[in-house]
Amino acid sequence: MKEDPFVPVLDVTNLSVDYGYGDDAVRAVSSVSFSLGRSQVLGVAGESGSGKSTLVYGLTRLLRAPGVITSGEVTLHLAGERKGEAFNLLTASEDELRQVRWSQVSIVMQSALNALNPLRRVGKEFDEILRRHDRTSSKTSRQERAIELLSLVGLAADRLQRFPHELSGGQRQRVMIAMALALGPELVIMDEPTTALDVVTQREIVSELYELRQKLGFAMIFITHDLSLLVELADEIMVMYAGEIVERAPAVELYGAPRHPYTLGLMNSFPPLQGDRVHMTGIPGSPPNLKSPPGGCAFHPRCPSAHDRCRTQAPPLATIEDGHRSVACWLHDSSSTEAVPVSLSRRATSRIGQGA
Amino acid sequence: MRSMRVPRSPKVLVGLCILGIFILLTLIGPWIAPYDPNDTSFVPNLRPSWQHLFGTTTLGQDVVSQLLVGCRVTMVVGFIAGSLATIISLVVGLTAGYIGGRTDEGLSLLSNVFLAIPGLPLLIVINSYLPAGEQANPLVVGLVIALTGWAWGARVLRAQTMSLRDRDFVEAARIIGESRWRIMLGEIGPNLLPIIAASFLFTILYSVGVYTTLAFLGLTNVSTWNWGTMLYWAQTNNAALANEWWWLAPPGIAIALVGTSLALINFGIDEFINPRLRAAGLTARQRRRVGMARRPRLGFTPVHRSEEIKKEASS
Repeated sequence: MKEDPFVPVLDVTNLSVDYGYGDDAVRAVSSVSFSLGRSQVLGVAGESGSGKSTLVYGLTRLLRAPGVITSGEVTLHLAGERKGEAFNLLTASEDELRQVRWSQVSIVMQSALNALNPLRRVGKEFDEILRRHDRTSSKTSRQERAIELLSLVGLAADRLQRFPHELSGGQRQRVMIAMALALGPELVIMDEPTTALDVVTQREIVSELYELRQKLGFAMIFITHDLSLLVELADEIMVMYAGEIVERAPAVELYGAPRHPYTLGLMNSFPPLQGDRVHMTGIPGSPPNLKSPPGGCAFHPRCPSAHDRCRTQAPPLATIEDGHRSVACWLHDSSSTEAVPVSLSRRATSRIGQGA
Repeated sequence: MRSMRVPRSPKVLVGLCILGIFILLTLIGPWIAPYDPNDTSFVPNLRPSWQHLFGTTTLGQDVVSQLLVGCRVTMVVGFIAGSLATIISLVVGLTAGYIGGRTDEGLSLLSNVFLAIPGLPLLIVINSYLPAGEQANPLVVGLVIALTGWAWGARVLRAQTMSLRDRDFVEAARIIGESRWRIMLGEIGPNLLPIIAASFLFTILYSVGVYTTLAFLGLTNVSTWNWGTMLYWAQTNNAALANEWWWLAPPGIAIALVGTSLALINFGIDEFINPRLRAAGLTARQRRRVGMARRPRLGFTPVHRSEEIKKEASS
């Protein structure tokens, strides 16, 4: 791990997002707080419907109706020409938001096919963004920049002349990533960018992203439901359940020794590539109905270690183990008398350590 | 699964209420009419009174009775013509759009020809060929009106069918060997419903208008009571010059109300049928209730803090 001084790029405090208004509102993200440092990679994991996409679309204000942000603050610390400025994303006007989008924050969506205009060559798309950004630039300089961007993501220069349908899924996703990086943003948000791709391509893209991050130094929020993918890429991982953060820890530690029963369940849902054949347990039950969430801890109906306290009180996200990781679970509360299962306790040895 | 919900938009509710009243009058109008519309035994040119709600005509007939009896024929012709025109446009549009090729060329040519010919003169010509007895037959008149009113709907349906034809779910249905008819009616048809419904409403409106026009010009059988013939008799007896507004106004207002109700219902059609719009269903009133001034815009998620709602409520 690098021990750079922590320079924040994004601060989120108490962000809550609802779908619907008034009495019909369903809380999809509730009181989420986190901050992201310069050139850090934050992984967000969770099942479908856990609120991970809603969280990032909410904080970038891209959420469609009937989404509404109901509380919180989101501050983006700008870089480049506007270095040092703290930009409040939630109070910004439409014009202010537009100036920040793409040049400071960019986002890569899940389906690259729909994002590219089928009637335009790839080069045209690049040309347009670059011209919009700097109207004085010459056509050749823009083309050089586009070629440079494509080479960053491992595509040959001749792809600029292609139409989107002539590219494979992986190539299209790479084009999207190159476009997201075109204006040198400080923060890139990846919303399951590899979900539609096969594992081999997934792997290639993830390692490319890792290198790009090293080279260009942007911060990244990477959303996925595949925890093992995050371990390779992310510095820190945030696990969400029912719109709340249930665990946040440095990636290796989280993967090696999860503290929240849900994280453990999520990890047990993917088979390890090495080691003995083990019975996959997964997580019984299904995610809660957010319209009438269960009382107490939202996970208690599916939790193997649930006890009385979990049914009545919701656990806060509390820091544990010298404050470098946090978990929202009563098992780890200092006043708890419950026996912590070995797999979730400090005694559990890292799975990664075992494998070596 | 959520079925069709009760419309909440006031526009649609008002439209449905008005149309409901007219449909009711269509069903029971001739029975609740106080007098025989042909009865000329009353004092002519009476102003509206409790005896004669809308007064009497120069010929000594009761206007209310004419209006109530005429409602049935007008509405029946409107609905027959609207339904027939919608069926023709659906068959032509769907076939042309889905099958394509020569079929499409032929059917498109046909609908273009009908679009190019002005409707009313064509109607007058066709109508004049009908035997006098048939001119009073709502089915025949409806069919003739439908013949001039289907082409616009067919064009719109063809365009939408063509855009649906290459979607994955249609191609999947073709590959697993579903028959053409099944795909057209089962896969594509339901996706055309909003357009079909909108074109149905507007062809009814068109048909009522055209039928009234024909009758007003005296081209249908003038002894059949409908709102157009009422206007025809009012016109031939110089009701407007004699300031007999109670004779002219009721059929005119009735036609306008039917038209308004159909247009109002059309506002809600998309909301009924499109599940996506239904899910996002957020009326302006709901939005105002929670105190949001603007409609949410794409790429600009509204921030509406719950503390603010509380503050507003307490102040």
